Formats: sequence, structure tokens, C-alpha cells
Amino acid sequence: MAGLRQQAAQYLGLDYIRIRTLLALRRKLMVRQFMRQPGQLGGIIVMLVTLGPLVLILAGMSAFVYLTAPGIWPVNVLALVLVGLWLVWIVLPLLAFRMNEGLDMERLLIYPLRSRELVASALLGTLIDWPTYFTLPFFLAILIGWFTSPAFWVVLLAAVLGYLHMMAASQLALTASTGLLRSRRFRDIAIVVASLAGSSCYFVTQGLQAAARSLGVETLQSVRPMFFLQWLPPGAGARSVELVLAGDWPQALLWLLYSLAWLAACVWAWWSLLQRVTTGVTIWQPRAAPATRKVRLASTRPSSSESLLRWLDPCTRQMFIKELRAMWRIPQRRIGALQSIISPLVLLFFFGMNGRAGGSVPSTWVSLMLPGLALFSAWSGSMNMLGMEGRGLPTLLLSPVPRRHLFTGKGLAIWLVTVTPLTILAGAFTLVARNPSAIVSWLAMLGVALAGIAVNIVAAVYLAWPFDEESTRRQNTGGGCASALGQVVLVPLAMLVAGAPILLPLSLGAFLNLQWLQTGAALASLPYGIILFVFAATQAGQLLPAREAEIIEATRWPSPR
Amino acid sequence: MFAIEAVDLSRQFGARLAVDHLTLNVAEGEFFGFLGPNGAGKSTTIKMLVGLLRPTTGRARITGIDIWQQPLAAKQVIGVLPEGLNLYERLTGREFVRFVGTMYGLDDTQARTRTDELLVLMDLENDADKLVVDYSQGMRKKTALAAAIIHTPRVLFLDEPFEGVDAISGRAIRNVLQRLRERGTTIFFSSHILEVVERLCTRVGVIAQGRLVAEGTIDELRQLAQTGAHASLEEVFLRTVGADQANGANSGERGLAWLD
Repeated sequence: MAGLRQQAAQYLGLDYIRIRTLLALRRKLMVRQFMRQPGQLGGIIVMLVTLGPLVLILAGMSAFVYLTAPGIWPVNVLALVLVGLWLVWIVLPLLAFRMNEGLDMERLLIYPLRSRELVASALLGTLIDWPTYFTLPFFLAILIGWFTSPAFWVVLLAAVLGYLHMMAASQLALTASTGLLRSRRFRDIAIVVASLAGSSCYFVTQGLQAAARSLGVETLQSVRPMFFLQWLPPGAGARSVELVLAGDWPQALLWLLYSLAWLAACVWAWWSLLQRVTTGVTIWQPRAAPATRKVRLASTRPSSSESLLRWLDPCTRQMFIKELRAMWRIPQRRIGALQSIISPLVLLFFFGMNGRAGGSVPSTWVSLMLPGLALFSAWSGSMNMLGMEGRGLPTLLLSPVPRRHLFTGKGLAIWLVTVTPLTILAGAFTLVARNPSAIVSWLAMLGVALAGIAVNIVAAVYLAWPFDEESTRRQNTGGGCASALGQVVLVPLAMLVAGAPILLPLSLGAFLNLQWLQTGAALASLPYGIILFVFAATQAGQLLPAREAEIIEATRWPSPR
Repeated sequence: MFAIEAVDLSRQFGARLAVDHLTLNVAEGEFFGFLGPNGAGKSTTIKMLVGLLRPTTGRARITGIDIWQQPLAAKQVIGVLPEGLNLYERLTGREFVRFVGTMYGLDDTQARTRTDELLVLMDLENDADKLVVDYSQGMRKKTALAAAIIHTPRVLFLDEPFEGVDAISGRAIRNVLQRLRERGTTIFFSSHILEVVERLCTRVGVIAQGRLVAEGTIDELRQLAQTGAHASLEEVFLRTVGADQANGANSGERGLAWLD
């Protein structure tokens, strides 16, 4: 078998040992990426459990259509499947670029490898990548579904062409965008977009439902996807199947040749591009900012935003400003901030829809909703407060600033980001639902958020884990089980206890319809929250110096990254 | 009173003793070079001296203040350029230096003025409003150095300040260090670039496998290593850590015959 492979490689003008070494490298990189970061393996397992059944169901459904559907549908679904996989494969590697070192061809360019060896190893390497296994059920469904068809051999050819198109196009896209993918800005945007796409599922579902409602069955029956898909490289293969079934072999051959020409063009473009990249030419590179020689003069005047914060101690003020900047500039933290805006928007949308449908929202629910959301946002926003400092933490702890100022500045910034969207929600809710109970709820929320953050301030001294600012995921943690257990079980419990003096009378007042109890709890909320917050910052500030070396050790990544 | 005192300092990582009962004194105003091969324990020692890593045994005092008993008071008088630089990647250079200045107790006006002056001194003024994450290694190092000296520390710890730095940036850093030395700042400095150590340092300590194997002026080290009066610091260093014989054995007798 090895001899046969060697002969095949020789026939194609490839160095068999080099190809084998390159494939072994790709396999090792993929396996070790999971060994080094077991969290990623966990992610893949979760994906297998959640996405695996979906892929199997979709592939099964496609096979069912190939076998049983009448008329034009089997061949149209074939086109949809081939084009869909092709599109996914163009986008997927771009998103997984940071995750999989094996996709980065540029690293191999310093070695004396020929372009054909790079092309062959990249194409064969896709057989090792785990996303390939998600596509296999679809190809298996094609084989099963068309096995008895008179056009089986053409279908097989179209499927093979579709697979090659997938691989070639994804490599072309990767190579073409190497410069862009390496840029920090692209990474930042990709992290935020990928994460927010997940969180905006609710809106997407609503949109799809509305679209489905507006389209009738007759409209759906008149749709012929092939009309558009035939012009795309993998769709042309499906079009040739349609023509063979209609007995038009000459035209079918032309469409196959059209698809083949696309493939040749794609591989040629990729090959040429690889050679250009060898000489350092990249396209789709984000434009660098022009080198300006304009020197900013020293300005001793504080900015207007800083003037507003004059009442804060200078260290607390700088910490507050730095924290706000971090929450916006570090993509993983920006996601958190944006999600705290999106969640209330979803609720507002929900209440808006409910209002339009003639329903009403019980005031009991409204009274508890905002403090509940505030507590949740405070928990997620202030989690691992010191670890979130990332690489700058040792610098911060090397300074002699009284530690309570650090906690106060950070805590206030998190509080501001927590309560701002909820304040807008409360205002909008009062207007949309004409429900004044939102004002009481808003007042209570202000103090509950502070109380929640106070708990996490104290927890920060004992629970800290590494935070990787350059990770492509929102929460890339290296914390152990104890940290996770503490943050997921103990801290929320402590937060509920800390919020209880406000939440209990608020709930009782809402359920028993005691307006005075609700109003009293709401009015007492902010002073209570402030007292608890100041107490926690002072206590944590006293406790921290004795634990700083241990916290730095706990938040350090085990190996240079 | 010494500027830096390390008494019986040790640090154990699992089974490995990274620093082995190290005792060392550095007088005020001294420019002390701390040399050693990779993995000898230089960075670990510096981390223990500045309060970033708790020693397994021993204690460290900075200007007479125990760093582990009164950490905030000791940190007030030191400036540190640490091994990993520890910069806030998503602040601009200007924001970072100013932030650190405020954390060391400078008022707003002082922090702004000194930041701008330091950025000019380090030739970073044109890139001062770029995020640190987009900086080159040399720019990062200069930014970290600016942050380390913004509060005019009495004792400055520098861990490999010239590593990965080009000649122009290296010269800028050297000039800053000379000025600090002239004003009496004590500098504790680890480096692999022996030529710089030879030119700048008044006294040198050599650490190997966690132990302080030699300490003194460069002339004293020459005598200790028996290398002759005109031997370079590199020869002295190699002799002191015993690397001259080990290297000879590696290249001559064992392996790499295909290189001949």
C-alpha cells in the first residue's frame, strides 16, 4: 500500500516523504492543540453532541428527499447541499484560523517546499481536520440517495467535484486573506461577531418565522434554486445531473466541464497566490494607518469626562477609566458589555410583541425582573475581577496604590455598564407598557447591582484564574474546578444573600400587593448597596496585599502564549 | 543601610530548587549587574525581591523595608521592568504610562507632563496613541521602562532590558539608565548582553543553578575566575559558571561531526 502511495506521489511529481511529514505535522498540531488546551476538546465534544445530531438529521432528510421526493426536488436539494457545504467551507476555516495552526500555510514557506507539495498537503490535510467529518454524512446521503438512479455515475462525479471545490475554495480564501486573518483588528471583529451571532438567535428566529409566514406554499413550490445555483461551481455539477436525467448528455457534459474549469481556475489562483505569498505579497491586508509625524503636545488639562469624575480619588478615577476602556477594547469583554445591552433589548422586544398581541405583563414580574437581571449582569461582569486584568495585573500590583481604590474604580465601572442598559430598559418599559412599577424596580436594581458587585470584589481576593486577552473565545479560562465551583455556586448564593434585604421585601410587596413595602425597599436599596460596596472594597483592599503573590501565580498562563 | 538586601532567599518549584539560599546586598547608588545562564534563577530572584513571587524561605528588604511585611511602602520606592513586561495591551502607550504614574501617586498634571516627556525621551511620541498590542518588542520595552521610572524610584529593577531591542532603542535605554545612575538611583539589572553589563555596571553578581557563585567588581571577578587582567567579561562569566569547559566538550568530542 505504501509502495502504491509512493508510486502515485512520484507520478504526480511529489516527494512522498515530504507529503507524509507534512500530513503528520498537521495531525500532530491538531491533536496537541486539544492536549494543550483541554477546554478546546471539551468544546469539540459539546459541538459533536449538539451539532452532530443536527448534521445527521439534515443529511438523513436530504437522503429522504433524494429517494422519495417527486419531480425537480431531488436534484435541487442536491444543488443546495453541494453549494451550502461549499459556502460553509469557505467561511469556516477563516473563523477557525486562530484555533488551528495547521491551516497557516505561511509558516511552511521558509522551507524549500514546492508549491505542488504545499497544495497537495493542504488538500490531503483537510481529510484529517475534524470539520471534514461533519460533511461526510451529506456525501454518504448522496451515495445512498442516488445509488439506484440511472444518473448515479454523474452524481458521483458531481459529488467528487463538489468536495474538491470545497477544499480548493477554502484554501484559496485562507491564502488570500492571510494578511487580514493575522491582523489584530480582524481577530477582534471576528470574536465579537461570532459571539453576538449566537446571542442574537432570538431575533433571527423571529425574522425567519415572519418570512415563513409571509411566503405561502404556492410561492415555495414555484421556487427553483437550481436557476441560481447552477452558475456556482458545485451547483454546475448538480445541473449536469438534472440534464442527464432529462436525457440531454451533451449539455450535461458542458456543465461538468464548466464546473471543472472553475476548479482548475481556483487551484491555479491558489497556486499563484501561494507563490506570491512566498515573496511576502498579501492581499486583503488591512491598510496601515499613515505614519504621521504630528506630535501631540503635552496637555496638562484634564478631558471633560475626567472633569466629571473629579469627586473620585485620582487612583480610583484612573482605574475607573481604564476599566471602561478595557471593557470596550478587549473583544471578549466587549462581548460581555454588548450582551448586557442585548439581553434587555430581547426582553423589550418580547414585551413589545406581547403588548401588540394584546397581552399584559404582570407587575409582580416587572418588579423582580430588573433586580434579577442586574444581579446576573453584576455576577457575569465582575467575575474574576483581578484575573481579568490579564497581563497587566503584575504591573497593577507592583504599584503602591491602596488596594481599596483598585476595587472601587473597577467596581464602579462595572456598575455603570450594568445599570445603563437596564435604566434604558426601565424607561422604555414605562413608556411602552405604561407600567409605572418599572420605576420602583429600577430604583431597587441600582442597589442590588452594587451589592452583587460587592460580593464579587471579596471573591476576587480568593478566586482568580487566567484570562487570555488574545483568545478567540469569550471566556478562555485556565481556572481549576475549585474556582469554577466557587464562581458558579458559592458566589451566586452569596449574591442572593447580599441582595436579600432588598429582594425579599420587594418580592413580598409585589406578591401581597403592598405598595409601601416595595417603595420602601426600593428607596433603601441604593444606600444599602453603597454601604455594602464600600465595606467590601475596604475589606478586600486590606486582604489583598497578603494574597498578591498567590493571585499573580494563579492568573499566570502555564506556558508562554 | 543597603538599597537591596536578600537574606537566605530560596524558591522551590515542585522538586526543583530555582533559587538556592541566595544572600546578596546592593548598596545605594550602585549599578548592579545580575548575570547567569538561561534558567539560572535571575528572573525568579527579581520577582521575589519586588514582591511578585513569595519566597519559600528567606526575606527581602528594599531600602530597609521588608517587601513581604510592608509591601505597599516598599513598592513606593521601587520601579520594575519585569521579565514579561506586563503591559496593558489594550491601552495606548500614553494611557499606560500615565495610568502607572497615577497609581504611584503622581497628581494628574505631573502624570501627564512626565508621560509626555518620557514618550519624547524614548522616541515614542509618534506612536503614543497606538494600542500597546500593536507595538513592536522595542517599543514595548521602552514603554515599560518609561512606566518603571515615571515616579523617580530610588531602586530600579530591570529584567533583561536590552533583550529584543534594536540598536537605536538600546541606546535610548542606555542613556536613560546613565542619567538615573548619575542622580543616585540604585539599579539592579539582569542581562545576557555582557558588553552592556561591562560598560554600565559598578558591581556584578553571577548566579548559576540558583546559587550566587560570584559577586564583586569586574576586576574582582577576573581575579576570582583567574582569567588574567585583560579578560573580557564574557570569558570571566563563562569561566565562573563553568560553561567554557562544558561547551568545549560538546562541540569537540560529541556529535556534529557532519559539520566538519
